[in-house]
Amino acid sequence: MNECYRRIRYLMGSFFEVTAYGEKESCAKGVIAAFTEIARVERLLSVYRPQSDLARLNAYRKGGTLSVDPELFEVLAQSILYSEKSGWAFDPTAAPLIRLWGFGPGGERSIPPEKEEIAALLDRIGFQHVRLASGQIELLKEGMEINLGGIGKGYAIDRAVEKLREQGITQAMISCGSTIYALGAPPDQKGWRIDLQHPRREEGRIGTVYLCNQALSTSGDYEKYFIFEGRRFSHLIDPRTGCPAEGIAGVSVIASTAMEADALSTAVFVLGKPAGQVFLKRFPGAEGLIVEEERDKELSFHRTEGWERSPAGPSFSRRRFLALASMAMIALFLPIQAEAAVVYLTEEEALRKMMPEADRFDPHPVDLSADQLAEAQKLAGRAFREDDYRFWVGRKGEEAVGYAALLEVVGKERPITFLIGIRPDGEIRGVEVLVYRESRGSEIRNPRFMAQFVKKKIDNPLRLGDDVESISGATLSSRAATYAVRKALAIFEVVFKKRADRHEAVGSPFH
Amino acid sequence: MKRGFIALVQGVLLSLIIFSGTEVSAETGRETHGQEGEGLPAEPGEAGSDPKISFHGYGEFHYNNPVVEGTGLPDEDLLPTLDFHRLVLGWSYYYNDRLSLHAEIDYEHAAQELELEFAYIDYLITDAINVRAGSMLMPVGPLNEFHEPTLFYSVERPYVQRTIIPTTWSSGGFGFFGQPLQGVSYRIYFVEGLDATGFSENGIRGGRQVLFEDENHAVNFGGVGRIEYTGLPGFVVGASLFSAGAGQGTPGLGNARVTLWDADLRYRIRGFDVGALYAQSRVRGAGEISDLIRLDPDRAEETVGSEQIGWYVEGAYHLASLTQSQYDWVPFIRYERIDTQASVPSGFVKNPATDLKVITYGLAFYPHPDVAVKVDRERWDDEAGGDGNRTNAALAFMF
Repeated sequence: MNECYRRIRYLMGSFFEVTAYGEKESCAKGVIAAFTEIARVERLLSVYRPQSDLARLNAYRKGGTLSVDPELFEVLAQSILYSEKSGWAFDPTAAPLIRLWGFGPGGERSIPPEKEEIAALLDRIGFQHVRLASGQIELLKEGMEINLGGIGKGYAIDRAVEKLREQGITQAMISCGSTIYALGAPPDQKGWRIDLQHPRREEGRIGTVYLCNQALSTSGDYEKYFIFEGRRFSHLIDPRTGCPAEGIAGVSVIASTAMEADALSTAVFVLGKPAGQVFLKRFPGAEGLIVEEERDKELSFHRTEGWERSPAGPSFSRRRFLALASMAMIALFLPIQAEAAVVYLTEEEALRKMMPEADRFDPHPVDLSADQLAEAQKLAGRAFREDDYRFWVGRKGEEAVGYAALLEVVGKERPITFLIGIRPDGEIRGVEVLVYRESRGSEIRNPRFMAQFVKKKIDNPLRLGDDVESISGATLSSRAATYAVRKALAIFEVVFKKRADRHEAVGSPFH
Repeated sequence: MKRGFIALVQGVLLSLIIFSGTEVSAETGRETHGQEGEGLPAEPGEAGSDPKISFHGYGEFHYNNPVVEGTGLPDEDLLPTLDFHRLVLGWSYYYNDRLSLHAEIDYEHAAQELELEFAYIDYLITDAINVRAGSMLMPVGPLNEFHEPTLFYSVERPYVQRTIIPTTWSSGGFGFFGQPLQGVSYRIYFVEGLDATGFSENGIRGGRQVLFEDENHAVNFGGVGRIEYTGLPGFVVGASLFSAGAGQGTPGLGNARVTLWDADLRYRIRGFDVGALYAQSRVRGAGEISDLIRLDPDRAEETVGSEQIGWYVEGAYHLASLTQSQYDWVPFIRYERIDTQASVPSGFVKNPATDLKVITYGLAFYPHPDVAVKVDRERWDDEAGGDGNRTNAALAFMF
């Protein structure tokens, strides 16, 4: 049996997602090994753990050399290579600049910093001021610090892929944020299909690539930015000038490892189109798609020669519509691969949207006992068998700010995937549709429809036409959403509320 | 007789498929009636289950008791009747997450008539644009595509949506559908046109073509589209347009064309359900069509209107929103105007009997949102002085 096995963990301050095809048991084993490996890399590269090598090095500030873990040394050596080849456009010592511009932890800002402030920092930025030799590292300037956040996740993905390989898994994908590694291809397909987001239109796509034993990373100025006097200042800062790089809206790079893809996409973004294209040629197997933004906000698309042919266009013109329409017709006659239906939000996006104040989301699998199942069914008003559910606890520090449940309920014929957010006191915070699979009824995504559920509790009727109005033409989907909310509240009540009542502490269902 | 027999065989075959489908799902543990939670209705499907094939259907069983005056109808047409008007069985098959087949077969009048209601393939691409091809329900008016009998409160469908918009109306072709903006959805298809030789003084309903080679004439094609706004819960406003040639190769009717449009809205809020619809069609070449049908000696006086107009307003109230009961009682009233000869081609005379007013009022009882028992009374009178009424009852269901 070739099953699809998919798990998500929150590590290194982000969500890692592993999807693997194969025997369920070996997939589960491989995925656990992969997550364990990522956790190990987190400890190795963390700057926040006071005892970590990097934290000690950064605390050292000036003078003296430090012996570091050989693996960390290797990662640093590789980083300095990318840094050097890019003419220091990629630079792991730029963290103070990123903080100054308000993209670090804490301090957001809406106006650029003063020139003097930037100049004061520039002095201690630059990987060229770091010396690496025989297992030892030396920072040549006072106040320097190294942060491997930029390529650390790529490195963690590469290591985790190794673990999957060791477990005999040959068809898998690991992703974190905008970095992905594709191991092999899904059954009967040429590769893992990746849609590339349009840098200026939230729901638009600029192309599709199929990856097989390749990594892809995207850097875009739309990820984190602020706009001041009509100019966009993004988190992608040129360490040479101390200011956000301009002229590029987004860069996607395909490379043989995730770490390389991570480093190259950042470097190309900073370098800009001509220099970036030249730079990419120095890395065998690396290909890039660069989206340039002219002064008049026109976008132009530039691919390296080996980049897979992919449809791209900056505006929704009539020609584009016709092309799309004819594509759609051609698609009918082509062999079609099974792939996700319309995925509106990933779990991570939905969790963040639901609980923006949370700084992390702890997965909390729920396995209902026979008694709990019976009680949940009674509260939900329907009979169901499934006793395994995925919940998350959103936390800010140690405080639980909310809960979320992932539920699938059949609309007319196919399951709709919902994420339902619940406040610690048992009121609905919000409902999001993550995946919709039918041709009719996705109108329930309408925020006005979903807003009807906010503040609902288990003792509300939660009935269509009573306290919830359906979307016309989407009655069955409306009904499914209403039931999903009721079911989520029922399970929440049975699992979390009961415990909280007993311990009088909703905050920590684990302790 | 032959048709009835075929229908019977089909029915047996289909129920075999359904039966074997149930067995398969039971084997894979997807049967949803858990031992726990007994007495509770099962959840629709089961969370996480992903069956490739699913069945659905609906039916309506009618009692009609007409009293008509001034029409000269033979007496036996005025006796009450029981009619299992429709039993529709449908299924969907999902080849994968993007490609699916949807079909319905309609066993009309206790399976005496067999109809392919629709059978089309959907290919999902993005929210904004998806592809559909096959025999499709025409997106005209709110009822034609969503005509399950639990979705309206009267026993019979509104007259406007039978006469002016010929529900249930399907045709062959292909097209696109999607939601380009939040709350806005559209369908736009390229389809086969109507056949003008079927038109009558009562409108274009008889012009719907069956997709059967011996009867179908695929000479004229055209377009049909609908746009809807459903951005407010409980609210929908929509507009539809159909336009296609209708000559279908009949000599002398090369010029014939039908353009039909409608605008409709419905708002359900705090138990109130109000709706209105206006529909109008224009028949180009109505004079030639009338000349042609008059060749039939029984229809020597008949005129096909060059314009048909109909509209209605209706209101209903869901008592469940007062009683908080899970059983819903819905009193309703509807006023309709239908004129299938709003104008006639020059040189022809209008038959005032084609200009009708209808009031329908009654009560629908929903023991479950998908099951309804309906009772109503229709009163109509026409401009020719004829009037009548009819008492109806129905059992309606869908699954």
